[in-house]
Amino acid sequence: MASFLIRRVILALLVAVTVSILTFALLRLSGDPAVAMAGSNARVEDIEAIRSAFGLDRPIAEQYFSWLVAAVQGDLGESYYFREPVARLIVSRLPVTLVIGFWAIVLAIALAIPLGVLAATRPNTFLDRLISAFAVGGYAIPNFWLSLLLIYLFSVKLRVLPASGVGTWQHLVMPVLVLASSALPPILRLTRAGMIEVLEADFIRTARAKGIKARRILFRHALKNALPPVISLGAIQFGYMLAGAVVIETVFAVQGIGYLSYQSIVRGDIPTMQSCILLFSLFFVFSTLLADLINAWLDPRVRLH
Amino acid sequence: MSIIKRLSAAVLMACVLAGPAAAGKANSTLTAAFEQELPTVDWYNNSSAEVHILRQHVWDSLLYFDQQTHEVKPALAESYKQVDPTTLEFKLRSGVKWHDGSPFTADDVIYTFNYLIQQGSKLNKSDWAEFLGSVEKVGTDTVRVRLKHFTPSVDQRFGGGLPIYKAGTYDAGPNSLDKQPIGTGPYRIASIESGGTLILERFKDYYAGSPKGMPSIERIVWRTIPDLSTQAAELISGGIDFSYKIGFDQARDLGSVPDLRYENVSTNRMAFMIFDAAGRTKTPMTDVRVRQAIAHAIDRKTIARQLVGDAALALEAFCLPGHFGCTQEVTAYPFDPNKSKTLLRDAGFSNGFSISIGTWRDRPIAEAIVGNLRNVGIRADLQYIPLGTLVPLWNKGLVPIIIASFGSAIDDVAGMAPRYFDGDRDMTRDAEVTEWLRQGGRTADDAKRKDYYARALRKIAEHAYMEPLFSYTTSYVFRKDLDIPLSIYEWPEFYHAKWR
Repeated sequence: MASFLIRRVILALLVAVTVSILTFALLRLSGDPAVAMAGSNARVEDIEAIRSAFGLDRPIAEQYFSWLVAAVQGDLGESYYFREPVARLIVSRLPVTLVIGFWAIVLAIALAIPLGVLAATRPNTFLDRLISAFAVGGYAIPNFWLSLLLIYLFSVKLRVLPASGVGTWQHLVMPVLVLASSALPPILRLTRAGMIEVLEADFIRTARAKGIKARRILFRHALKNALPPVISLGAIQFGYMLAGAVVIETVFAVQGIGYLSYQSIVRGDIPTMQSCILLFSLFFVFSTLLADLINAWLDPRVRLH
Repeated sequence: MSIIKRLSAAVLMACVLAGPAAAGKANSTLTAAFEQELPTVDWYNNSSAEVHILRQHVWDSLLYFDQQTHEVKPALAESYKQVDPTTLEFKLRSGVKWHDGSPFTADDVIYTFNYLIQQGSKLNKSDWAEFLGSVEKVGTDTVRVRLKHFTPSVDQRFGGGLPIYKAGTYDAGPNSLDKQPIGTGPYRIASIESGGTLILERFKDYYAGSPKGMPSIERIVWRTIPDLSTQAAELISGGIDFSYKIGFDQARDLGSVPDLRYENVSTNRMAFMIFDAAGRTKTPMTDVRVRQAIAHAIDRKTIARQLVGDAALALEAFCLPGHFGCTQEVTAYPFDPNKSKTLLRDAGFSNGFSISIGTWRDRPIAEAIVGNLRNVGIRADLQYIPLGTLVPLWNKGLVPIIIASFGSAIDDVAGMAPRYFDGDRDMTRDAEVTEWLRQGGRTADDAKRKDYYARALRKIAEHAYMEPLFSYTTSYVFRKDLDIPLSIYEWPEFYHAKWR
């Protein structure tokens, strides 16, 4: 188990470094950051002053290695736009994104697993099709559209929830619902498919033949075997959520990591962009790693591969 | 009643009771929404409109530029005089307090201006302060400021910007003001809340005699809501009282909501096209007939009305009406596709030609222009690219036509035109125009200045070096019972607002 863990951690770090190199190069190829910072009406001497002040006149490889060495020590540079340490910006904005992401994945799993089990126990019935349609709908509806629809319904028409901002739990209801709506469909479908497969297995037939109650078979035997891929998917979906929060945080005016990364793109704030992308990739990589570890713990056969 | 029903009712009641707090008229509060987050409160370190608006409310300058009358009035300085073209003397007002209760003195002015002089081009707003040469105290309540060179409309610069900070503000570092935002303005920053919300409270010891006056509204809740549709929802549901820069078609619809009012106001910004008349891109742009043909091909009035706003003005000269030195009595190019085709034929392009147009903003407007050009046979390829990518290409002379925009900080031709006829961004390379614009900014004689600018603007129009398009507009939506004067400067002044 230890060697498995070490191998996966090293792999995760290699992926993160590769992402950082690609991001660094692509961001600098997308335009002159000094001009983006200075604005359209800046004088040439202002642009050159900015270029010099932020070290943008150094060779790109030197810029990257300076950044990497500092990043490893926790110094992610200074935001061109906010003029404060990027690390401090991220630390101040990460909690609200994590809170929304956490409750969204909890809600998604809490709904998806029971619905998936229900659909699997009544395959090809009206109920199964209704649940599948619900899943497809979740895939098909864009987050920004669903966000605006919920704002219209709950804030403008019913006036029961605030349209934007943070501060109370009511402010988080709609962002959590929207984010959960994108994670729920794949978890539901995977649960349904996994349960259908397991329910047709020999050991389940044996359990029925032995007279074990249906509820016990379903939850004690079948679901336990169908869960590992669902857990993996849940962890991966959590990683997607942090990246997917960009749209939701912008629409609901939540100052989290998603909105910060959107602002950094619009403002050409390269240090912040670079760090946000690195953060998302690290989250994704380590959430996948966590999923693998949980699966390895649940199913010892995984550790042997 | 079942447990589930009881729980549902309780949840619903909780939602209703814990909804948005009552705001607005009832407790002398105005909740205003802004699209961009405030990156800093320091005006010298950021050029966003939001920081400028905040500056107006929290920090006063030596003078005050009245956005309604366009006059410059005394503020922290009770009077001023221009000793000579490059020297100004300010007699400071007594009895002014900082928000922490300490007195405002000449030392604060000396500190602020010396900091700006020392920082030079490191400041984000370096062009606002580049003319400052030196500052000294003359007596306990008078400061003398020497300029490096004659600066047109310099009083507007002291009135429209250059806030005075308390002595010692930057001692703890260049970002110190964000930690202790103390000013002399009509509002003080009472708190910075989660989600980027600021609470501004009326400063009870604000000095009498200020041209801004004591505000009527006690409290301003400054909220950042990036999505304009969400701002619209908040306006309808009562979460906010004031919003601006919502798209004008959406704003117009919001005006039909019973307790909301919509206003579309012309601004101090204009859009224009620049042509590579100097020939760096080796395209037909060197031929004046081709440039004039393009000018005649564009239906500026329709574009302005449909895509910009009711208050948008189609412009003839490369300046904004009302600016010092601006004359609209120049060669005009009314929309006339037939004349455009005739000019193209005369220039040898009866079958039209292909060309690329670069821009970084207002895509619908750019596409409308491309459509107009296609109607006369010019096949324009729109390069819609980020500013950071376009400007280096512009500077290197690789783009034959650019659609650009500019907002002048001062009401003077000197604030805009010279930038585009000097240096790398000069796509014309007409030495005569460059020199006239330069001379207009160097002489203190108003009559001579107007003459130089008139000559430059007429030649620019005659040779179609630029195609002025229209002035931009801003749409405001706010509560019907809120009285707030609006202006072309897009910097709302809540200290002049009141609830009816």
